[in-house]
Amino acid sequence: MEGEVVLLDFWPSMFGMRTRIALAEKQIKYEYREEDLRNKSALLLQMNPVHKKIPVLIHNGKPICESLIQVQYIDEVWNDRAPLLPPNPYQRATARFWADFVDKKIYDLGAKVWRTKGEEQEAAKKELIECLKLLEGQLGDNPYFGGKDFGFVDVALVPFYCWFYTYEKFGSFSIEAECPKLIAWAKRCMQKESVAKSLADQEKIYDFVLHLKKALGIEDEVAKETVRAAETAGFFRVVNFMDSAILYIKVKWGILSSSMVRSSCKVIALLEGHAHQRAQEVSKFRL
Amino acid sequence: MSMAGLVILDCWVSPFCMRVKIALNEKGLQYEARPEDLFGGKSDLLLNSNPIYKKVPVFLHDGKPLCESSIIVAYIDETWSSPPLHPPCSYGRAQARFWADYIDKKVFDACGNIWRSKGEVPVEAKTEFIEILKQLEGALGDKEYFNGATFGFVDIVAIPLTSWFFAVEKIGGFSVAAECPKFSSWMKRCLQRESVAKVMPDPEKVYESVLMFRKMQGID
Repeated sequence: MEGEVVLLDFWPSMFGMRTRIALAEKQIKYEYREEDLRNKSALLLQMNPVHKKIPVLIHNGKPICESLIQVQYIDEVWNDRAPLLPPNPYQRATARFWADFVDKKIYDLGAKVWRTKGEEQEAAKKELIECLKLLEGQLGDNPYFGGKDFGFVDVALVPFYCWFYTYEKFGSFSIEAECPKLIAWAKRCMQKESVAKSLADQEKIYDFVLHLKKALGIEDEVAKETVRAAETAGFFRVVNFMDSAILYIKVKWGILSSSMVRSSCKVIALLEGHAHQRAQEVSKFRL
Repeated sequence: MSMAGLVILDCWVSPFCMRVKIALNEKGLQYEARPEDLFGGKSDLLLNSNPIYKKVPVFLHDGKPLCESSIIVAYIDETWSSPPLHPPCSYGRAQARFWADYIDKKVFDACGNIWRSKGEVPVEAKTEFIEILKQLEGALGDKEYFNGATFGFVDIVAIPLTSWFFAVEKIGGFSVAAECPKFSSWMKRCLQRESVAKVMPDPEKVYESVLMFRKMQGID
C-alpha cells in the first residue's frame, strides 16, 4: 500500500529531520538519498525546480516539497496509525499556528546566533530565548505539544534540539538554564525511537558548522571587499527598508542586488567574474 | 459586545484580511468585520487575541481566536465543508499548500520592494516581481483557477494581493497585463465572483493608502 517513497535530504537539516521523524512514526519504508548542496542532483532540481531545496519527499514518483507540508501529507495518506494532527479543526489550527511560529522564528534566530558576533548576536540570543519561552508556555504541563501524545508541533520543533549545542557553544549561553521545561520535553522526545533515529548527533552538527563558518568566513570577506570596492568607486546606493537592507550595485552590466534579510547573508556581487562565483557559494549554504 | 458568532478583526486594505472574508463569503456565512485602527491604537481584543504577532486578521469563532490568514482559511474550510475549497485528494492538497506557501513567502515582499523604493525603482525589483507571477502562471497552467475547474484555497490566498498591483504598477512603471496576460485573465475571472468583488477594495484607494504609507515611512 505504501508505494515507492524516496527522501532527498541533507543530514544536518532540521527540516529533513521533521520528515524523517514523520516517516518513522508511521513506520514507512523509504529510500534516503543524501544530497550534496554544493552539487545538487539532477533529480533534486527536477523535483523541486521552484526552491531547489531539500528535503523533497517523492511518493510514487511525485514530489512533495516543504517539510511541514510533507509531514501533513504523510499524516493524511497514512492515516491509520500514529496520528500527528488532532481531529478537531480548532486544535489543528492551533497546531499549525505554532508549527508556523517555529518556522518563522527559530531557524533564522539560531543562524544569527552562530553566524554573528557582538550586538547582533546578543540580540539574536535574547530573541531566541524569548521565542523558546513562548513555546514553553504553549507546552504548559503537557508531556508533548500534542497533549498526551507526540504530535505535529513536536515534530516541527524537536529537530532544533540537536542544533542547540551549536547555538550554545557559539553564543556562550545555556538554553537549559533559561528553558528547563523545554529541554525536559526534548529529552522526553529523544526517548522515542523515531526521534532518536532521525536527529543528527549534536557534536557532528557542531563540527559541520565549524567547517562551514571557516568556508563562509573566507567567502564573506571576499564579498565584503567587493562591495567595499564598489562603494569606493561610487557604484551603489543603499536603500533601507523596515527590517531588510537592500544594497543595489549598479554597474555597467546592469543592476544587481545584494539583500541582507534577517540572518541569511546572500551577497550577490558581480564586479569581477570570480567574485560573483564566490558570492554564489555563500548563498548555497542556506538550508 | 456579544462574543458569539463569527467576527473578524479587520483592516480594509489588508490582503490577509481579505482572504478570510472571501472564504467566509464562499461558504455563505454571516460575519461581523470589526475595523482595527492599526496606526492609531489596536484594540484590547486584538492585542489579547493575537499576543504573539498583534496583527490582523484575527478570526473569532464564538470567541475563540485564530490567527494567520492561511491557517484561518484552512480552518474555515475544515469547519464548514460546503463548498470545498481544497482539492479532494492528499496530493492535490499538498500541491495547494505548496503554492499558498510560495505566494505567502514571495508576493507581498516583492510588492514591497517596488512600492518602498526611494527614487527610481530598481530594475531587479521589477524583474523579480514579474518572475514570481510567471512562476504562478506555470502553476495555473491551462486551468480556470489554481484549484482547477472551481475557485479554491490557492485562489483565495492569491487574489487579495492583486488589489495592491495597481499601486505597484504605478510606482514601478509597468503593466501586469502586458507582462503576464494569463495571470491577468485569472485575476479578472476571480473578480467576477461576488464573494471576491464584495471584499476587494478600489485599487485607486489602495494606491492612495500606499502613498500615505510611503510618507509615513519617510520614503516620500
